[in-house]
Amino acid sequence: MALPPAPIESARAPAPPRGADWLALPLGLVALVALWAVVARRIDVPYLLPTPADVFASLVTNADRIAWHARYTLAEVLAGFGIGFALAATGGYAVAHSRLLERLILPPVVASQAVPIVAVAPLLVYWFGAGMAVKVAAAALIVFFPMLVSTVVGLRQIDPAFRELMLILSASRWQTALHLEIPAALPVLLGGLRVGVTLSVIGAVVGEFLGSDRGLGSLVAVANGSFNDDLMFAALVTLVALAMGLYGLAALAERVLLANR
Amino acid sequence: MRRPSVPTLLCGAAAATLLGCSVPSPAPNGTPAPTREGWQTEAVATLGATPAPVPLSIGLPFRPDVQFAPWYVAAARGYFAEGGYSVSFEYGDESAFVRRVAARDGLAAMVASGEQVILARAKEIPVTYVATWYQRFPVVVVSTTGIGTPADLVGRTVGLPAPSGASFLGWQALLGVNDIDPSSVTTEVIGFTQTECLQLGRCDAAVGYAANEPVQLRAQGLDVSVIEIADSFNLVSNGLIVAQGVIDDSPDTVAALVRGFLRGLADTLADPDAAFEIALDVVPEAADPAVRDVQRQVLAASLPYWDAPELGAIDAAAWARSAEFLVAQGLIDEAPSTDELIEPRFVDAAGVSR
Repeated sequence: MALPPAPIESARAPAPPRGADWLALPLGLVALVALWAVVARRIDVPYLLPTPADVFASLVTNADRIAWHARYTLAEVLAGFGIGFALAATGGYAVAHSRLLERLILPPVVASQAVPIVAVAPLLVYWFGAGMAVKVAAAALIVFFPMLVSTVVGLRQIDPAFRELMLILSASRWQTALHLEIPAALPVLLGGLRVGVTLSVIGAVVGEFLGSDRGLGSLVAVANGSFNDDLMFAALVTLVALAMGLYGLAALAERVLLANR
Repeated sequence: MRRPSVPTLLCGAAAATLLGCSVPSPAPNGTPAPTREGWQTEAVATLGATPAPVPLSIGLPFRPDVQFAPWYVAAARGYFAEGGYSVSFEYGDESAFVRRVAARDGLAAMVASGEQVILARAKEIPVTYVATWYQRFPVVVVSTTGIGTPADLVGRTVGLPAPSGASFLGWQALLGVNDIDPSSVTTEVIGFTQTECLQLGRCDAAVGYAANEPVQLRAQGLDVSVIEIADSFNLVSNGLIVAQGVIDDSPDTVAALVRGFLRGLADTLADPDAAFEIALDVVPEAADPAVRDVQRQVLAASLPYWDAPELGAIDAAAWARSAEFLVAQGLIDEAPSTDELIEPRFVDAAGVSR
């Protein structure tokens, strides 16, 4: 299966937000919370949708407990993303340089994406046990495909003329990778990074739902089971904040690394 | 009027905000079922015909299973239809069903473990337990390493399916009643992989269901020992749960569901083979020759937990003890009164005996 060619014009770092752009995110969050409050008041059934005020109160009351669980989820996310990215970058580099490998590896990898992670998660528990390893494995699995595609597309879009130049200069494979391929693929790779790092949160939480006594996913399940909806939503809000924070860090890394292009 | 579901309102509110126009909410699910008397009066008055059964849904936990045989028997033999209702079953998460039943959002009733009612009522979610299915708490500690008494658990590793729910509460009750220091036992949350955990030796024992893990492990030729948590503390267990509003507005509906279920239960206890065959119509996967015998044993292992001289009877004292236990565990601040938790009059009136 052949991947589509990527555009070859050089990419610039995204322009930093300026002026009123900085207000967009906080205003958007305020609008979302306001909508939530309106709907919760309209429903007026706390066990269906608690109010933002009750959720915030629970967030404050249970701050230590939520922070304790959040540390575990963050550790699972970072470890899972790191492993998934490393495997995807390595595999993607090999696939980008070999049409044969592309035809051998990509079809089963694409087919595997049709299998929901929740379906294979019990197998993961069987193979890795029920500790942190299964949560890391779930996060790595969910990150692998988007990062693999980003790596292959990023490398394939390099102008062949530049590759010829590196050959003329008798550059080694390592020099070509360091001075041409990695810098040229960086814009696409960093775009995939933003997607991958937020997907890794989903993977870690799915692993926690399967069986765990720690992590925000476990806290959501426990709170749900005891109808402590304020705490459940507080844990969900924390998860959202975690994912948004990681996305923001990835966007910042993109801006910094592409600043001088 | 029943409240619209949350997804419906969220979509409607978002559309109104974005488009600046109001979007009419779709008709809410779970409109109140008319009573049998209302239907009958109207039908006889206009056509003189027998009114059609009113469709309604009962929520069963997780997925279709031969262990739900009494419900399948009641539906297949028309016991619900005789009460004027055509019953279908939905499968899913107990906590979600509690919310839907309380909100009267498309579910007339549900089956769940009793502690769900205690936890719900503590949060002022108006659900009530109207008939007992499991008279004996079915959560057990199963081992393939010869652990036969609670004292044997000290110093061992035990797998728990989750850090909450009936299994976890049963485990806590076992430790508490037998004065076992929780720190003296190593526990690990393993999800629903108890069988694999014991097979691979990752744990010395695991908390599971009496009709599940022990049966599966014995079928593989393993020597299994079981600690019955009910011998230490018979926590309230699975039964029929409805919204308080349905009891108030449509007692005939509740009466029909209770009577239909108890007849299905009586038939299952009287003739498990016939009940198993009916269950296979709903769970055809259980008829696979590779698993059929084991599935039949699963049903057989369930029967002792259902059987009682008075089918469906609700033990108010057991409910009070269970509620106090949840307070002691710190899960609720105050025990709801048993008047809120249970309504035994429908079982008393059903007149179904063993």
